[in-house]
Amino acid sequence: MSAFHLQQVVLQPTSLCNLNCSYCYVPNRRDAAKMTPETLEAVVSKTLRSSLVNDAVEFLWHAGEPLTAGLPHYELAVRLIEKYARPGLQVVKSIQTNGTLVDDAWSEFFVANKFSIGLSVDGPAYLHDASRVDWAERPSHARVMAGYRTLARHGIRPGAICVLRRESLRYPDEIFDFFVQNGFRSVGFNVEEVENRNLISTLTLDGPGSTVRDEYRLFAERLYELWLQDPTRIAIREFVDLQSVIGQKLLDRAYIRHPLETQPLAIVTVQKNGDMSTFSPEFAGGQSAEFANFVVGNINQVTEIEDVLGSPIFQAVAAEVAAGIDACSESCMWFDLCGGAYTSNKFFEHGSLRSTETTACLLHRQTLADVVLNEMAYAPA
Amino acid sequence: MGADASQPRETVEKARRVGVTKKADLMARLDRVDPQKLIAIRFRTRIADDSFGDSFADSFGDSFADSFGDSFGDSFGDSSARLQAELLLERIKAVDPAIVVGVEFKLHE
Repeated sequence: MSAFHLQQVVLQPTSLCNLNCSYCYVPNRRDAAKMTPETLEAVVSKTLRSSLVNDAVEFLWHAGEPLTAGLPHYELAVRLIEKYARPGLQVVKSIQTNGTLVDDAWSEFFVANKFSIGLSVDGPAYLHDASRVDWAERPSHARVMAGYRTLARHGIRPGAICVLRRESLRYPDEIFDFFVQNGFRSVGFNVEEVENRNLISTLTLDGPGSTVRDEYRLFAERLYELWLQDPTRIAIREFVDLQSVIGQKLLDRAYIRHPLETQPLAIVTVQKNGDMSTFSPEFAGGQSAEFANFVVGNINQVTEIEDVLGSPIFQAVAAEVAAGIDACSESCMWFDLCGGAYTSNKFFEHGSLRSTETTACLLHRQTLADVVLNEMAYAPA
Repeated sequence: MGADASQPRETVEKARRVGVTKKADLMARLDRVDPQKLIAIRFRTRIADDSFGDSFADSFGDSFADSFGDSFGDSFGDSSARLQAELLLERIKAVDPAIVVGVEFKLHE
């Protein structure tokens, strides 16, 4: 069995998006070009026969807005998966969508083909609509929730991805209530990041006297308090993951977290033209002369995905990511609970994969772990 | 910023020494974790997961699964509950090994 383990293939069938969210990192979001059927077949067939795949693999369709690729793209994908999947292999199909294009036909297709749906929604309308607008700067919350209700009518209970901006930190109760009261299955919080084409984050620490970290801590403490009142109501990804990691660390003090995005070829992202990147999906479309824009190969040109292992760009990126993880290990108290994640953030914030602390890890790893460990501590005698 | 291979050797060594201290800081924080809190939350989180909940209910019965989920954290210190937990561990492992982590830690400490 290979030392590398491919677990998730992120497909970007188009970079086209009907929204123009203020923090989006994806380039070319008005380019209507789509992944060709030939490229899609190359992705599916080469993934499913790869020796890097063990007993399960996930195909995750992602940004721009993946539904703009059209239903025929996904109908073909399903047929190809059925054609190429070897017996016993578990193939998970997931889509992260803004929900605005969801209708009955899409919902019926998702149900019939067992797609897992993630909705991008930033909480109540007054938070969501501050950044998630269309190209005419019209708010999108009402359209997103209409899509949500359509999914719900078909028995689909989506998870959600919610991007936290600085303004969001003032509203932990409202954000929590929004996701619980609307019946979302789960929510994962992303912090607004300086990433790829997004050059500004409202959460960047603005000088030595910055209060961003304190604001985030208050938000996280309150969110955790609300969630603990009944954690069965909704799975909050960050808390569930941290508890799992802390539990494993309690049992085995040598345990170190290994996020997928730090493992070479655990995630392979394929752009519409077949260009492949690995580690963080956010590298797709990224600009770097040193790393040839992070393109480690093209799915149409390689015989097997394993061929990427011989790519000089892959080897250079992998070596730099490993050096960055080593640097995190040597300098950060929280490393064992983190594993040196946020590889793309390192590059896009600091210009180096060897760098360590990023805004995302300072808030979403270090501060969050501190909050959770504080709450889990024995009560004072 | 942390140690960088392009930095002078003494800087890297200093970062490594700092790293050792910081790892000790994390271990000290972990020593203060109350495993019962972790067990209770972890169990209730997993029981909310449909597939786990269904598997657990299939294995142990709905009413037991419900009462176990509600009372496990509070009753774990009781000797009969401990015995019950030990007997259940092997069966729960087959359903979700992750949940057993915190329980085993408590049993073996």
